[in-house]
Amino acid sequence: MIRPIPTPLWLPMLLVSGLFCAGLPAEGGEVPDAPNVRFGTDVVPILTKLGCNSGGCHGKATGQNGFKLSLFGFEPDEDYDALASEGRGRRLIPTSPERSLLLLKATSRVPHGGGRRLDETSDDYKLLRAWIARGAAAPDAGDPRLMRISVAPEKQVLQTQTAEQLRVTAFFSDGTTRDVTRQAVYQSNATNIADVDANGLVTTSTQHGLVSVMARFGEQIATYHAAVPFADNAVKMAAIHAQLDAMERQAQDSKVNRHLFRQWRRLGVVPSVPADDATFLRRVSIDICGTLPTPQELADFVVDTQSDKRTRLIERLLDRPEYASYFSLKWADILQNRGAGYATSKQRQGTTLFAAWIRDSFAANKPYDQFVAEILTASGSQNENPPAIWYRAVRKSPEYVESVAQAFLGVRIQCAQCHHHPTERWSQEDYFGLAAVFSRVGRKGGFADAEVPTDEIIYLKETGSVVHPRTGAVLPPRPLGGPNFELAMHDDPRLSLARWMTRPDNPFFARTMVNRMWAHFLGRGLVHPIDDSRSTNPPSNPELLDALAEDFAASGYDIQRLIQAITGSYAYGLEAAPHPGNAGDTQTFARFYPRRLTAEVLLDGVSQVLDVPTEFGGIPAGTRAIDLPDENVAAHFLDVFGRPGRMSACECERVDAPALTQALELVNSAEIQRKLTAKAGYAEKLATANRSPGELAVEIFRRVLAREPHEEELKVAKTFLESEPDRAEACRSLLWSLLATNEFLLNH
Amino acid sequence: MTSRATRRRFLQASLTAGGAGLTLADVLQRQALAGAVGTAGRTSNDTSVIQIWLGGGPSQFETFDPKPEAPAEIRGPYSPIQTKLPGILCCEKLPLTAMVLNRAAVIRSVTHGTNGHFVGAHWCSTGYSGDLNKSTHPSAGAIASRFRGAANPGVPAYVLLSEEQTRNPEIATVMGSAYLGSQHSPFTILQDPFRDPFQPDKVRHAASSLKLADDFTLSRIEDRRSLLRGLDRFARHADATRAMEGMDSFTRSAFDMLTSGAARRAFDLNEESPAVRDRYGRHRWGQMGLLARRLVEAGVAFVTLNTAPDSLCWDWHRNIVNDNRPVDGSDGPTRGMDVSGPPLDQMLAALIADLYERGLDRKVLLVVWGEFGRTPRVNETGGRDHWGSLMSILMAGGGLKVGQVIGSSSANGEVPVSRPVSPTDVLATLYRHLGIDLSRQTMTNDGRPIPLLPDGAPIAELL
Repeated sequence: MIRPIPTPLWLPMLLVSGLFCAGLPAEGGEVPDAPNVRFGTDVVPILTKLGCNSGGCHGKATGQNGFKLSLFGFEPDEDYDALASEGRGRRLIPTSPERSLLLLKATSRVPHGGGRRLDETSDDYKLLRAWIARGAAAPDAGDPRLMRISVAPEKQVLQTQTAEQLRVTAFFSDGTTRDVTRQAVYQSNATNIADVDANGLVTTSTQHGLVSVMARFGEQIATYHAAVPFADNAVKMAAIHAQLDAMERQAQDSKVNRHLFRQWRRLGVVPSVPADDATFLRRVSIDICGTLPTPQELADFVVDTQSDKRTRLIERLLDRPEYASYFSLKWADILQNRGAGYATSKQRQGTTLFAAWIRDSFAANKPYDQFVAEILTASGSQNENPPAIWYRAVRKSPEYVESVAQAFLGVRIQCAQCHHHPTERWSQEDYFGLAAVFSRVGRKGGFADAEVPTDEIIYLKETGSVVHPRTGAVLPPRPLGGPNFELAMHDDPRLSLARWMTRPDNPFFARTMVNRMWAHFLGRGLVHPIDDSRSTNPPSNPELLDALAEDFAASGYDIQRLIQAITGSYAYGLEAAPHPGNAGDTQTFARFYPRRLTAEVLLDGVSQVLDVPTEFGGIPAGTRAIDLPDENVAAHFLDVFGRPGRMSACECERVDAPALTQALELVNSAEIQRKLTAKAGYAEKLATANRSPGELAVEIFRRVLAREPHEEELKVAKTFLESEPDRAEACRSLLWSLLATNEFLLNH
Repeated sequence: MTSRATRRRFLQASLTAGGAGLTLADVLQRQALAGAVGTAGRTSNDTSVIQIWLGGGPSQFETFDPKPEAPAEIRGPYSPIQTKLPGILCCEKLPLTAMVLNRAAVIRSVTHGTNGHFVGAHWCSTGYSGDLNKSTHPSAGAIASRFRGAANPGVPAYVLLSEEQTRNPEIATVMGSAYLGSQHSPFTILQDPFRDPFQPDKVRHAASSLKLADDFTLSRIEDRRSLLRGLDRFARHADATRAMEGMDSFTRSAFDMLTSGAARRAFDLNEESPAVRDRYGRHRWGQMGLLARRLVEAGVAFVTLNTAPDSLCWDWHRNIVNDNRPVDGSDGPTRGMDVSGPPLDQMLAALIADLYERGLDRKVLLVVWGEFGRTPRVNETGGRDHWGSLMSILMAGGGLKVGQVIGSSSANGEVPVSRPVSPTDVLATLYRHLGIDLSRQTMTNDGRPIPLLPDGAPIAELL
């Protein structure tokens, strides 16, 4: 099936000529004459393929220009009504099919906001016309139902700049099958590596890595997986394997490392060299404690000659209070410990309590299953039982379902609130079944005034139910994928949910947490994005994910052990700089992926370097940004650098994209200027110290970048300091410049 | 200053010699800006929007839809006056605006039906009704920043003229960027521009000051810029996500913005003649209106003028005329048409006339509205309460067909009786003016595509 293409130059020509058409069913003739054109399995897929029922057009909740279709055609009966009964009968005119508004609009023969979508000579047009001409038959309960689809091939190893035609087959309830390659819709999860066209032709680019292509027909999906190895021939591959063997012999023998090396062998990718001690110290201090290492820590770590010094460093960091602070900040985001929205004074007591409870949980290394269960099943007064404060920001059906699915199960189920999930198996039954788990959560008291939920009491109501929004049926509580929980009258369904989640064989719970932690330390999840686990978005290294999850469950959900396993891995200790053998790798962790310091860590870092704490209004002096009680403490710096509003359980709310406003903040903000010029600050102290420019430069580099300056850097810095008569101003400028470097802004 | 200049020359030399290959002058010439500031070379997209936001919900009766025939408890205390639009009346407290109403279009049938400040404001600002106190969608200004950008380099795309909001700050969040992120949130002016001398350093994007300091600090900024280039050799290729290249280009833009002064000049009202400043009115709204005009002239794509000092100036529960709050301000600023009418009238009339006189009437679209209208029946304290079923709004410029009234309301000003217009129709008209394709979608952080607007179409009568 693999068709190598000699040079990229040929690609477009081949696409339009032989290669493209040869792999597809023949044009013309047969299809329109087929005796039974069925609405659900023939007509709707065309509307989907043409984009008519997409979210930007008629598939929008409100439709478009008075014509509304169900999103992606998931509700054929409603779509039939929209076509046949609404629009004053002009949409379908069997006596004169060409004059049907459906065809006139789609071909743009009457003005159509969506433009021309369909050609009069196409098979799709002929099929639609034939269906209308034969009386536009309605969907019938006796019509064969679509049971599943398959894609062939399922797995493939591809070279760069090649193409492969997928074939999609539909299986119907009457035992028939049909080639629906043309009617299916396709989506690649890594278009930089391989893209797919509307007809299922996969084309690889010049880049290497893993890619999945989803095919959808009706509400069924199938996934094709391809690997594009970095080594493009057997000789190179063998040489790389020899290199990897040598590397692996040097690496510590662990499950994690074995799975990493297996993946690198498979893709023929050579990891970067291990990072030096200074780089590792800064990296792991930031990732575990959200804190830069001091010059003293740097000196101590570098002179340590014991072989287990990195392991001991990790243990020391996990014992520090900053570890609990930093992870409590992360979890306060996920658990939406939100201070905004209501009067601050009334909210702050609660957010402070919840933040402290999370911090204590991490400090005590509370098992993760227990941590989650205490939150989900929390009852009683929020001020007496802080995990119940989770129920303050999470109040309504969609918030329960989406928060639980995203935070603990790694699933984005939002789509299934209104329609069948377009890229997953989740249906509205799954969505509202999970909502039903929380249908008896009661609240009383605690309202200081009409709009402010302060110290509420969470309790289990006698009754409460959730109905399916479309069918009106009452849905019993159930976990994702069912079956329904067995519940006696006084059972709290939340306990059943917590028990289901924390069972060792739960497919979501442990995987989601280990993936979240992997992403925290390695800069990208094994499933990416971290809370978007689905068959159409598979893990880059499933065996590694499974191994980590198994060990995590077996350890009794020991979070610190998990951190030790991840930070002790070969991948975590690599340099960030790539080399020709892994350039372009973004999936296999063959180098350390740098990322910008988070808003709080960056601000605390600047404060630490300049020895001037940030002043937060209404918060005790000296409080660090990672220790703030909630996100509603005014700090423009934090907002500009992407502090999340805690509106959802998605870590994606914390944005690290660069922005002009961040640059302005670094270049010209009053806050940094204040810290640079403060009387008791580091800059001022340096100015009065009796040091040579060279000594000053070295000290400043150690303090800001946690390393020694290179020779050339030292020369630039020294010359600058020497040329400036105002020593204080020179120190400030040098400090400022280093704080504004990418090297400082990134964890690398 | 000699040593400073020498030092800079040294740095430039060392940079060139050190392989960076660019002198400071080269860098200064490469002022291609990206993202939230204008993209060089774009000349056709030079339209802009000024949104005058009457927060709190202005009364349809006391603005553009008086009901002189209605019973006293409905028509209220004011009399209507004739306008330049034959047969069309407006409230007597808007006499100057009445004289330029032939250059505006009044829509008397805007409706959404919600009576909550937050939800109504969120609806009008974003097109989506939203949750209570939770800003879930990007504002029109953020959309303009995301899909259009400023017309000229060196100025922001979206500016919010709004004094520091100490009351009801959450309502201000509906003017934000939601999931589009901080690069599309507004540059906000946090000072009463009436205060003289005006302090441009009060213009902020969050904390990023646009302050352009004196020669000394300018020189210092240049020093630091040079030094940063000399020291920032961290292997850029280490980051395959290109985040660093992005940050580098933004850092260049930031320096350019500070040193070129285009933005600073746009914000500086002292460049206007006293006569012009008088015409807009020597009060905060007058000067904000003038500032809005300066900003769109400089290339800002979207300016929202939030009628200060709080988010609820037009929330007249207590009294339509003047609710006479304590002069010490302990109960917030006094509200009522006698208080708010005259400054709005002067500013609005000056702005409309000025846009046409300066030939900006095709380029700049003006919209004046708030989150809802007010109850037909005057309440027992002489006030009116929230009324989402009907509001009366004004649009001008933008090459629109002005000099007309669109839609009409029932005899007692309760509901539209013809041509109901949704807030999304108004926003669709703004987006069309900005050249933003309505079929575009935004993407939430978790990858959900959201249509620009859930419904709505540009108001055909205006086009």
